[in-house]
Amino acid sequence: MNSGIILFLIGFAISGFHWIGIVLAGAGLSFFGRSIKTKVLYGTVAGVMIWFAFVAYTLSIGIYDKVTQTGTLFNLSIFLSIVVGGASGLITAYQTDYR
Amino acid sequence: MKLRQLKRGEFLSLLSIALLMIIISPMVLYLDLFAPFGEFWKYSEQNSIELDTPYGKAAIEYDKYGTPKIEADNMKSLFYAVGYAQAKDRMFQMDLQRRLMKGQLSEVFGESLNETDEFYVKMNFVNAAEASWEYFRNTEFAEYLNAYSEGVNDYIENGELQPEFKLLDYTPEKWTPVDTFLINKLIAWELTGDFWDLERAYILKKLPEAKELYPEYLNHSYPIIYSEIPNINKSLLDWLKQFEGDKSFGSNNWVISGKYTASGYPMLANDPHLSLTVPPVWYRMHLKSKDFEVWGVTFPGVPVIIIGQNRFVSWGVTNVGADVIDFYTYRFDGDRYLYKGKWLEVEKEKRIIKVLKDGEIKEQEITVEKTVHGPIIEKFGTKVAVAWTGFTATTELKAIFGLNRASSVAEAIDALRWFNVPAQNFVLIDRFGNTAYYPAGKYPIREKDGDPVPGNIIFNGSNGDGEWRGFKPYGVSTWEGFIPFEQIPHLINPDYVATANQRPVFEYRYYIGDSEYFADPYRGMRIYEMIEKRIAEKGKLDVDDMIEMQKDVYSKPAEFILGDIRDNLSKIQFSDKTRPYVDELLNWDYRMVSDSKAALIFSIFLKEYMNETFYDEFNSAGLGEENYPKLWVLQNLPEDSRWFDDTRTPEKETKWDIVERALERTARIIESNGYERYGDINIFMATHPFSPKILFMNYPQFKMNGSDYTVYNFRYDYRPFQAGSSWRMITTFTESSAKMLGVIPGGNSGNYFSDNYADQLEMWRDCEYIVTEVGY
Repeated sequence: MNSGIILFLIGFAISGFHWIGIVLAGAGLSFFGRSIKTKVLYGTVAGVMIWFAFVAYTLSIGIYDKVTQTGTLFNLSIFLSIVVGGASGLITAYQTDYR
Repeated sequence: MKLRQLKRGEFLSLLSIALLMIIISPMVLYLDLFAPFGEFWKYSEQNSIELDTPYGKAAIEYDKYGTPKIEADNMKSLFYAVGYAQAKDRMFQMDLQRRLMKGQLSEVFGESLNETDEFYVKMNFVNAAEASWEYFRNTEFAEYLNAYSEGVNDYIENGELQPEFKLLDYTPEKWTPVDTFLINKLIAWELTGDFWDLERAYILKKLPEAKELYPEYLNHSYPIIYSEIPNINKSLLDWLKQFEGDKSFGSNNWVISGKYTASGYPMLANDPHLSLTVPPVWYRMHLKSKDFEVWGVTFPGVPVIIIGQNRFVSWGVTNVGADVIDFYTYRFDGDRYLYKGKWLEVEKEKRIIKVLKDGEIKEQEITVEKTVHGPIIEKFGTKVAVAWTGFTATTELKAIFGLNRASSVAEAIDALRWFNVPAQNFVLIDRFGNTAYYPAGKYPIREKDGDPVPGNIIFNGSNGDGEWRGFKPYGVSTWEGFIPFEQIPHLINPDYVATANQRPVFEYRYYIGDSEYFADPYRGMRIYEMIEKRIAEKGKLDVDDMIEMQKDVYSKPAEFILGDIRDNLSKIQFSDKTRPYVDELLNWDYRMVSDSKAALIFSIFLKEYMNETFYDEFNSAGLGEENYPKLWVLQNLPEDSRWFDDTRTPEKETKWDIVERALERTARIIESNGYERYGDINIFMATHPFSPKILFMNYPQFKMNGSDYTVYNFRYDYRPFQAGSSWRMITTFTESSAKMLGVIPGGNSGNYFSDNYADQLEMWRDCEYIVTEVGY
């Protein structure tokens, strides 16, 4: 399996108990990007996927409505997923050869 | 060595990692908490918990309303599990209350609560709680309280803490038995911590003619003491106001004996009116270990059932409201004070308050002072010592535990001997058909020169006037200077009895409080009226009758005041503006329901009527509306009373001029605010301690029926919380079971993410109940 996918899956699993998982998942998925822009995009996608997993989890344990009612805090969870995921996409920027 | 030149991509990668760290580092706290799956969102609903305690096994089973049924091998493992369950559901509330009493709020919430901390430290509730613990230390209760504390601490160490702790970023300290007594003292203080004696002295100093507005039960004058008052001032009273119990707290309870019930078994109803908080003040639970089984509600932090039922008896409480607090002044000479001809040193002790300021904890030194009578309050040039029955070792927990174990009304009454503070109107029933009313508590007898004197004055502490014999602040009292338990007025096997914080008895040999200590009699009158009407019409009452009575929103003040207006219509000159309002009021059924316009008018009119009557005299004397007398006093003033005359006008106004003026103001308020129905102002808005900074933890808002004068009780204004029925309960027995109907205003869980956070709210509003039925 592609090492990027493996890193993404490890990060995805870790994100269930620590946000560092978003960084790893974002970095893992960003291997598929060929430019800075697409790497950031892939990192963001990883963050959003984790956020959706989080939403699915809140639905499964019946606290989704309560979570959304926190308003700003709920929005913060999306914001943090996107920012951290996107920024993590830059970790693999060394793959981009500009010489 | 020459380093290899980085490729641009590698450079970018390192740069981005550095950038990532720069972005993330200030966000770490937010990430830890609010990232997907972060600490803040962690929650798991547990419906069943098995505990292997150091004392044996215990099981906690939650029903669909989050009420834990806790079963254990023995009493110690039972109390361990109670501690665990309460910490799981209410730890933040427990910790907040403990911090309040210890003066530790500003450590977490910042310097705005510094004064609050200072007051609670100076009153030294901690030493009072320690005295109670010392008293129990070598009894069976000590083992139970230790087991309870261990259960709380087990959860603190191993359980998922409530979201509030995560937001405030702290872990609660370990729970101790002293903390349980602190909760005990807090409740007692909220119900009896009253600075009325000081306020009364100030009012009478500023407006001596107002004495008739605050009638004393024991008609005993004590003018010499007034001249001893050094400097009671408004600044002091305003400062103290924030720390005294909510005077409008009331409660209802009543029992109907089997003689008047359809089942032939007695029935009991109770709804204590306390602050409507988030989470609710009460926590419902059901405890069982071998023969010991009891269910009902308690205050989180207290391991026994305070109001409830077992397989033999049931009991309910209302606050007596008696005067169990006194104030003493002295002749001081520096740090010495004169006491019965001797100069004594004021006892001093240094305490440290921690204050969160600019993100750092700073320490502040407080000096706690006390005399032979109690702690000293020194503020705004006034120095008085406070004696309060709760400042000594008290034994309410033993009394309550005795109630939990009682197997008859007689045993329950025997347990009440241990009930010290706050004095409570206990009503009791048992499955053998017995009923009782006993206002248990410690009532001080004040004497001067061997004669009883009322306690609504400030005493000359240097003379030893009015002091309580056998009372030892922060120690163990012998209580000989208090009304003996047997002499407290009580009823055994009444056919029915109702208490609603009205004066327990007239023509009693001891002073137990002046009119300000007891509630207006409207609710008590209404309950008696409903019971007697039903008995007359139906002969026998059933549970549905009890429910209907708890739902009752009929306003006795409306009946009296509007009846008076109706009888005197010819004397009142209504304007075109007020006429429709009067018509609305006179065609009303006096029910305070949310869709009633008349209820809206009457509610606002009452405040304006009070204001129009007393504002001129009180304001010119530097007094405020918080000093106005009771509604019952206003209602019974003669129509040409001096208080109706507006001292600012040359004319002499009568009651009817004031009624018209109050109606004018009422009409203006309603029209300028666009109010249409009572529900536009009578809105339930219970707020979490984090409000207004965080709003999502507040309970939902809705329009309410009821008022502070109706049996279905709700007060919409904040002092500092709304107040109302904090637990509604009806209990009875059948041939084969004990039955309880109960509901709290909110939910049993204090965890925002729980399904049981606010699930009883609508049931509470609609007077619906959760039934507990236990077979014999």
